[in-house]
Amino acid sequence: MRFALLAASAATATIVAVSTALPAVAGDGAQKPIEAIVPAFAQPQTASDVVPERVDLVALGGIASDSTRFLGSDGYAEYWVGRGNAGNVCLIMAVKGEAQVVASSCATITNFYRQGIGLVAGADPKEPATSAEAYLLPADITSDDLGLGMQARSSAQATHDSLISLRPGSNEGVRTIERHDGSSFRFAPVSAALGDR
Amino acid sequence: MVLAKMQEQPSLQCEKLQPIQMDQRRRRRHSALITAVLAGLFALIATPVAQAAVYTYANNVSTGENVTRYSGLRSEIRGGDGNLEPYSVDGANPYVILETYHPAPGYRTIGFSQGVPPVAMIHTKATSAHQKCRWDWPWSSGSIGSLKLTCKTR
Repeated sequence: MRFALLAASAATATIVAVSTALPAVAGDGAQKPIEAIVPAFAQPQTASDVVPERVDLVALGGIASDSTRFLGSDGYAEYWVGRGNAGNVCLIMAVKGEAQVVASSCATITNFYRQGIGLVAGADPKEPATSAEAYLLPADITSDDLGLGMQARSSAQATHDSLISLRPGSNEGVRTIERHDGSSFRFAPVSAALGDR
Repeated sequence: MVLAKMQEQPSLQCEKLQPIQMDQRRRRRHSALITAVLAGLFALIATPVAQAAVYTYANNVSTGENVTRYSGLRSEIRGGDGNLEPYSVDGANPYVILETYHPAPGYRTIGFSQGVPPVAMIHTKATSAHQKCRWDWPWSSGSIGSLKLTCKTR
């Protein structure tokens, strides 16, 4: 019985260690710590990084409350990054407005390194003013690399360069960027193809 | 004689106290039993309520592109989440689109979320509302077949 408990504890500790303490990118030949891919995680969490009480992090992908980091805000939403189930990287977006929509999209570290995270959310897809569109990029990819026009970008007050917020419906195209390590990054904008269907 | 009286007294006290103590024990047992029964009843009631908070309307269901899955009428929706079996071509992924709404007439979206799965959202409580979800592959016009879709309301 004691052995079984010890074995279970050891297994749990291993799972926790693998999912949190060893977040390295295995794909694309890169072996980087998570802080090198998401620099926000390199800084300790401060009071301003904590999400508002109404944001149910469990419902948004089992995001650990002590992992959230504030990325910035604009006239349409506030943005955070956090660590979800199995150590996934999650982009969290709290859209301003009556509906109080908070959305998240999560990716494995490998997928995040390859394509980042894109998310569109809001109260009404037919009214862009009630919606927000944002992208979280790995540290080595910038908006200049993507060649995103400033007109497409909203006036985000980002605290991290890795966050790009666009206006829904800006219709940016797909871009592929070759990295020095031989891997590629693919920027695939989320199209707000919603409606009554 | 005095000693004998003193020795008798404790036993007399015991005889006098015993019924009171037994009464107290009985009462304690009764209250413990009532507490246990109430706790059991609460668990019976609370568990289905807690389970009802999450309603799965597409459970790993093989679904074609832009084929919509519907929750039907729900008394209360506070959000939801959508997930899709992994599928990727050259780093491109399908999107999952999740939407809570009041149906026609007067169709109105309460909240929506679109992104690479898993996607989740929460919003203000919507009563007598519906939710729907689908997946989209915007990277080529050809069909990529069916993928297993999971969608839940909260």
